[in-house]
Amino acid sequence: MLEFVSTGLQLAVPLLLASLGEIYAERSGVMNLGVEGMMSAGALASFAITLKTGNPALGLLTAAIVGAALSLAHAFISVTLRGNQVVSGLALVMVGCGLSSLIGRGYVGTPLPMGSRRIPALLGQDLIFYVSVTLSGILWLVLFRTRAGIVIRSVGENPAVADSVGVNVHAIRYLCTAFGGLLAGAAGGYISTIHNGMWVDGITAGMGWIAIALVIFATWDPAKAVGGAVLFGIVESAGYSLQNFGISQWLLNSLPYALTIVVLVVASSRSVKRRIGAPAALGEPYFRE
Amino acid sequence: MRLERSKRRNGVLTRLIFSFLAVLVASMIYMLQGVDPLDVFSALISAFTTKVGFSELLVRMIPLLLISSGLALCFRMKFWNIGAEGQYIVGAMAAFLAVESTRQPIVALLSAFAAGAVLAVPPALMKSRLGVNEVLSTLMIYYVVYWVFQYLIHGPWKAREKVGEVSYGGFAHTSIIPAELGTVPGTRISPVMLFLALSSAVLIYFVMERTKLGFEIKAFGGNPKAAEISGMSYFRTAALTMMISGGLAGLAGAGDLLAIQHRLIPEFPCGYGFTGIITAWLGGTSPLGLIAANMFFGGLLVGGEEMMIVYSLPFGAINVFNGLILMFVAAGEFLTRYRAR
Repeated sequence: MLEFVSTGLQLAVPLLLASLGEIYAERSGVMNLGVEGMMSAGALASFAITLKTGNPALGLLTAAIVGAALSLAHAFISVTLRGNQVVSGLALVMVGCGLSSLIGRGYVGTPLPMGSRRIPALLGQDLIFYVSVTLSGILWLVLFRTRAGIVIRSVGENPAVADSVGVNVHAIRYLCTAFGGLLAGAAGGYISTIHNGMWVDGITAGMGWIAIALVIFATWDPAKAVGGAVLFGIVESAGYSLQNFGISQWLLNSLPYALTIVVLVVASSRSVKRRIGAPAALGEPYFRE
Repeated sequence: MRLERSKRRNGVLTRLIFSFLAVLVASMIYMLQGVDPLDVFSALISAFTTKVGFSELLVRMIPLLLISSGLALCFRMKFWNIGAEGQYIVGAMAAFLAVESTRQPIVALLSAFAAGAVLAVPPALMKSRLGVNEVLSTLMIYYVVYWVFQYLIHGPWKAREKVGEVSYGGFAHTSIIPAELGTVPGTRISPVMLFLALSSAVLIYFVMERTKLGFEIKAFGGNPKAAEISGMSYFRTAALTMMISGGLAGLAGAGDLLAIQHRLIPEFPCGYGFTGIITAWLGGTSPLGLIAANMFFGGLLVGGEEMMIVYSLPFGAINVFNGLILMFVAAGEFLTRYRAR
């Protein structure tokens, strides 16, 4: 029982990190659907570097940089070129997953030595779990209690007004998108390096998409993302456990996605009632008239 | 320098140039991974110039064309149906059940269209009533369908093999269907499916240019608020568009089962639903544009599969090509929509 909760909390970490990053990107008005691709590329980068150096911290750092680099391609297309954000995000998923599949083919089946996966732990959870939960608190503070947060939110709600008071809309959007990529890359690195300890093609298995759904569930609030991520982590961990009771693994695999649909419907109808929703300028390129 | 929204609409040349640039960049990445780009180009060219290559190109063009015709309608409305792969799978599943019980391929095709259409409606309902993001809902429904499909062919639908008198549960696939669609001798091309695919590209052009639905799709794609105020129903338009799109994807799944695979195997869903997103974006709602884009990607798939085998690359590696083409074309839109002043 304890192990089942503990696995659930560990599975919540990558979801939480990726959705925190996406919350910042979307709060600034950029919808980056490429999370799955950035996670996948980050997962491979972290695995490869950790295998080579034996240092998981260096692996996660590389993953974050790779994720941020990929997100800049999306920022360039959607902010500077004012391209279609849905199409650019989908393209990023394909590029990220394709690259990791191509470059990762030599790593399939090689496990990481146990020693290089070990990071400090407390009460059954590793350091990164505590860092992620603390980070969601800090990101909440920044977004709702600081000037920087007001600037980010205003760029996502009404870029024209923000622009008129001297905010550099494009710079803020670039920064927030890159921050999203940073966290998505690190989230992928966590899956391959800390959680799995080996590389498999298609390692992220839709987690990036679930992280985007969590953003909606959390109503774009970093503090609320923790609950959603833990819920999904526990459900996935329950999937592993139920397999022992003779329930088909194929059916159990569909569980997180079915839950995502339910969560989307519930969260959206709640938002409709309370009239809270996405940032008003989400997905809209800014065009100074 | 000031940017201004441009009136020029001729983006075909820009898209071609940017697709070509993307292929160059992708080839460079492959070269760094030890793949000779000349091999890539010769594989691509042989898909268009040899008899076997071209017939296999058409085999892949048929499902792609059906899927992307429907997606082009959705995208014109800015309704992002990303779940065509799931609608393709559910079409094949419905066709399997129908042909098992009736032995009539035509019944199987009709059931497949119906199943794909039904699966495509909930995202339209969720978006119009609750504002649920359709990218997520269509994709999540795909994932659920994918795993249910795997469950069925690994479990309840698994064929029993017979060796002499002994019957046992063999590999994870269904039994061979009792009736099939005929193919042109020496190829895997079904004339019926080729006809349906080409008609679907013409059909959606007709829908866009000659029907009320087409007018509403354009209206919601351009200015949804104005369309709503003038009395059009978002739900009705989105649901009809999705039914056409889902139905065509379902047909594609049925065609591949009835004419090519003859049974359902774990690898049956091979990504046409995702490749169709790119070809729909490239081709738009023009029949010639769609046929050209899907022939190109049919060739890319045939050449790509050859590369995968020769260099023993994982199947997912072809997404480097797919993604870069989509990304470059999305970037290139800039040149057709804005001009410097």
